[in-house]
Amino acid sequence: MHDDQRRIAFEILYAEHAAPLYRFALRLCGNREDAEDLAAEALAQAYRRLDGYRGDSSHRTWLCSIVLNQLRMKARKRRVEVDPLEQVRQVATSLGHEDVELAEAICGLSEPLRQAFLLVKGEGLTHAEAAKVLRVPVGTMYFRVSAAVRQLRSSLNPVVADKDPAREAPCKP
Amino acid sequence: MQAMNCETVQDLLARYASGELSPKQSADIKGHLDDCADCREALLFHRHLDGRLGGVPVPPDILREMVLRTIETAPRRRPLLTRLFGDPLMKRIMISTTAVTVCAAAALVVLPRTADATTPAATLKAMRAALAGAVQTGELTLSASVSAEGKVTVSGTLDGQPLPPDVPLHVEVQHTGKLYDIKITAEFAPENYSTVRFGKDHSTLELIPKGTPDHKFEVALDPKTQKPKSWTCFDRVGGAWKAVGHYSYQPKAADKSSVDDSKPIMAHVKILVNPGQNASIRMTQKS
Repeated sequence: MHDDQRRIAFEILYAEHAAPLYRFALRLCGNREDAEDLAAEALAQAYRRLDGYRGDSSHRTWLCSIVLNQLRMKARKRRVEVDPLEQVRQVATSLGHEDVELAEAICGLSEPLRQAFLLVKGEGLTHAEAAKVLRVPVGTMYFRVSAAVRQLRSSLNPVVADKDPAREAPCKP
Repeated sequence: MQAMNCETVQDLLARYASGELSPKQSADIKGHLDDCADCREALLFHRHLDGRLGGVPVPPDILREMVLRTIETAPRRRPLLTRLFGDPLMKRIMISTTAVTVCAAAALVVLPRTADATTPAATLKAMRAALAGAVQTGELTLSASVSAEGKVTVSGTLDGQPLPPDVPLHVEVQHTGKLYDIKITAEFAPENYSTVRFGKDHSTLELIPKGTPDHKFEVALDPKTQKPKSWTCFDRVGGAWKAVGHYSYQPKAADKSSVDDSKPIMAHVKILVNPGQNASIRMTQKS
């Protein structure tokens, strides 16, 4: 690939993936600086492998994997101090209309549920793709996403908390 | 079809909303939703969430510079060996692997090897090959003598000790006047035995020649050389096996020359017998 071709390919890559990757990273870590680092590293790695870039959905899955791997490495290297209020504020900036209520509910999810939820509902990966990213069985992913949505529903609409479908309540037409 | 309950439906709603279910499952859920306000509300929440999560923040301008800087300053990929040996974990693995390899190699050299053969037939074949090698080196000798009356007697020694009578020596004699042409073949082919099996603990090979169900012998093989180190003959007396002869040997080191174990162990010699005299000759295997 010539330099001009690589430059154009980089522009396409950046235009297509920079914003969603930054959003994903920001929602994951709730810290703007860390989100920038994670997104920059993922995009740089993607650029180095431009020759193999097929532009299909697998690339998105792969980029999300890089972000998550980088996040794990960061967590291993240093203890990540999280300011809950700042985390909610930053996650809210990634949501439409700075939705603080939803941001607070997302930050209240456990890490496995939050990661599964953000990959599937936030980034639009299929359950199978998200399972590959998190290296868990797809059945685990079904459970995590479903559990995350239930918890969010309970948090955002407390009335729902009383409606436990497991009780086999008769359906209302 | 069993109707779906609300819990099952709500577990499937994420996949229903993203179109990941089969047409049949989707139709079942749609049927349930038509009749269930709670699940319709849950689906509405899913769609509502999708709308609220869809926002895409504009990445900060600095991100572009950071990506380019990361690309430019990225260390050149180190050669494979440097990557492997430079990694602390890999160093530990290499050190421990090397230690294990050295120990295993030392064990192979120091400890007696077990027989390579794992089945009785393969063990018999290995012994046959080892004996063929012993003939070549003179460790196993086959001798024939002819009396003045023309009677041919054949015997053998291994490590200077007499071969047991069970060693199947096949003798073929032709003579023209005083010249005797003698071929001796020691055959340990599996087809000559009705039973070939391991004895206790695989330490011996038990052989019952065809046609002699009341006679057997057990051979203990040297694990290194596969040559017999002891040979015990048994006769069945009153239903029980009784040892009737025992021979033991001190096998020399394994012969390193290649031995074609597909050929019979055979000796061939011509003896000139003078009237009134015995003639005896020791033979080794001819190739």
